[in-house]
Amino acid sequence: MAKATDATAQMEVDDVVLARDGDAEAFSRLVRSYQRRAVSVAYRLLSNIEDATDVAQDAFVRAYRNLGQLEDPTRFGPWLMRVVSNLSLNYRRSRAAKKAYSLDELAGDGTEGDGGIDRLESKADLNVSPQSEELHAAISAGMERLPDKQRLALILFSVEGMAQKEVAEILECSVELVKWNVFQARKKLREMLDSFL
Amino acid sequence: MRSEEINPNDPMFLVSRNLDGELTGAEQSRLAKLLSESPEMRREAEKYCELNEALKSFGCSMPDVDFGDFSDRVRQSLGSSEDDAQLVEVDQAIQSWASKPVVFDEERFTAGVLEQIGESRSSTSRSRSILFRIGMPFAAAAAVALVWIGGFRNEHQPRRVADVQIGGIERVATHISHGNTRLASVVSFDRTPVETDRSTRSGGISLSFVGSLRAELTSSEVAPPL
Repeated sequence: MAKATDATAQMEVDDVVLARDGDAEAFSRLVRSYQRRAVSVAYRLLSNIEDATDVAQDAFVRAYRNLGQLEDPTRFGPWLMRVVSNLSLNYRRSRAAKKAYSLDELAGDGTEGDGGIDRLESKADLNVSPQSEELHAAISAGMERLPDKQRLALILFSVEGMAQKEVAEILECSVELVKWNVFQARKKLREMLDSFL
Repeated sequence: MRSEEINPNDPMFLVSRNLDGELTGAEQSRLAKLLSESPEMRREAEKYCELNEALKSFGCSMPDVDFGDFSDRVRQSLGSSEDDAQLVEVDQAIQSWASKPVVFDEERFTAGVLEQIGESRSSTSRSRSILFRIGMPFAAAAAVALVWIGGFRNEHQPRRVADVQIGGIERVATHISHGNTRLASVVSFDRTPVETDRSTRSGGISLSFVGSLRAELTSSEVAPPL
């Protein structure tokens, strides 16, 4: 089993090296290996599957063009997930800015601060009913309110099941800080989802 | 957040880490003691456990995605970037340039050849003599060659003038032996007249297009008595 894993890892490294030299077919194999995880992470961060697939696709394209910056081919996975995470967060920010602007426009006051985002994601909006579908919607809405690092740590570790070391590599922080961020995220979500738990 | 903000003694941090199976034996004992002493903390720990289960369940819920063509779409994106699009444009421009029919003012070309020949004719009496003798057949050969080049152009394309200019004529070799004179000259063009190694002959002069930017003319005839 370990040998098979090693062989798979070596094949991936070979594909990274080939792709770095411009072999698109080798890169296609890497896409097929990581597409589910990439789309999944983007979806957890964006809560919209169309946006998630677009961002994940963009992440792969950027990864291909910047493969030369990846010093260690064995770290392709975490490196790719960092690209996916960063692009997703950037996309969220631009989307939120547009959304807030739109809501402000609708409100007609044009002021900043207590924008519509907070109103939409208030605790009252989360407390719908204790059904699992609604619970998932509430988790998703609660995630939206977490700070980026806490949200990412929770999604990558608790939702996607990645190893803490890998999450630390993606977040570019220590493993201890990953644990702490996961704890902080749990603590806040626990408060936000009080009526569901 | 800086690492010094981590509080490892936070009791709920122990609960969180316990969910991930990270506690040491000593930490597990400490947590067990805390939970037994505080019903409130025990309730909170249960809530954390519920939340963790909900997050796992949340992780399993995702809309269906058609991954069948995902890698193909990525690949298409790789080939349709702005950079690539620009390269494609350049490539198309080169192809367009390369396929542009070579049509030029044949009379002007011939006159240019003759003019160049006239200039070189005055350099030495010997070369003048040879060039004088070959001048007319040379011009004739050039004319024949131009007609022949014209045969390569696309008949559907309108004829245009002066796309090719003579860059100069340079005599590269003159060889006389046993009464025969061989003279080779190079006619340079400012762009490719035609890419071929074909040759044509007229009046003892052959004109061969030997490269993309030059044509070589050779003459072989009996030298006049000196």
